Amino acid sequence: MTDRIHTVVTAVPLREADLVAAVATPESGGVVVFSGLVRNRHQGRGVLRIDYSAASRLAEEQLRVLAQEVLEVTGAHRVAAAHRVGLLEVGEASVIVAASAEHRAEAFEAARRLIDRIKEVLPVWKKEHFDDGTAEWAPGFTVREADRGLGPAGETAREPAAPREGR
Amino acid sequence: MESERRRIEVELHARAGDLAGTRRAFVELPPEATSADLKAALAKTHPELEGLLRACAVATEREYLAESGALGAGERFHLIPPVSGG
Repeated sequence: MTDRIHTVVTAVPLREADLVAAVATPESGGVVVFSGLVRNRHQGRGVLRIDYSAASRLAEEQLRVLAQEVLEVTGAHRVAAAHRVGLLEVGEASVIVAASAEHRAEAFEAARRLIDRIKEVLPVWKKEHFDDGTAEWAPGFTVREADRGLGPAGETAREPAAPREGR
Repeated sequence: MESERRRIEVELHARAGDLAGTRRAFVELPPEATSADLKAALAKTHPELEGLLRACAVATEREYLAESGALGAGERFHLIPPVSGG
């Protein structure tokens, strides 16, 4: 089963081609790739770079769990996910997910679910460095994973953003 | 009878580390203590975390713990403020 998922949390720049290669199989009619990039604006403010940090071992473990969960509920052939940590410049990929399936619907579904779950659960944090010289932690999603339990369909309740004050 | 308390190391991530002014906190708790107990202990040793603790999860190196879940025998935990990966 584990050869059907490929996950990594790394300080090394991400390459889409690596993830496509990790999921493509002879049986696959399609591969969907989503790349999350560092954007130069956040709520009207100019962003220069983003510093990503992670609870390393926990993040590696959770990324495997999420990939496995998505594989099981979507019928995808394979799924892959890579999350970058460290100081990233505008335009660099912070996360890439890829999914292969016999038909496109399952591949799109798997990629979508995986990136959504990563954003809700993966123990990773971004600190945005703005062009005015300030830096702030992004608000983020409160994790209530262990209390909620993993629903078979991976349905998730989006939590409101955390308090933003108090830095 | 309460079993022996032992020293637990808690890694404070992101905003939590900034507020506390340190990446590591130490609390003393027995193995039957829960995730909620760990947060309550942190509120005492690091009162500056109090406003954030409600929004934090507690995790081992492998998984998130339920609020009512016992910490067990582990000696290292993570305090996980709202996550913002992706």
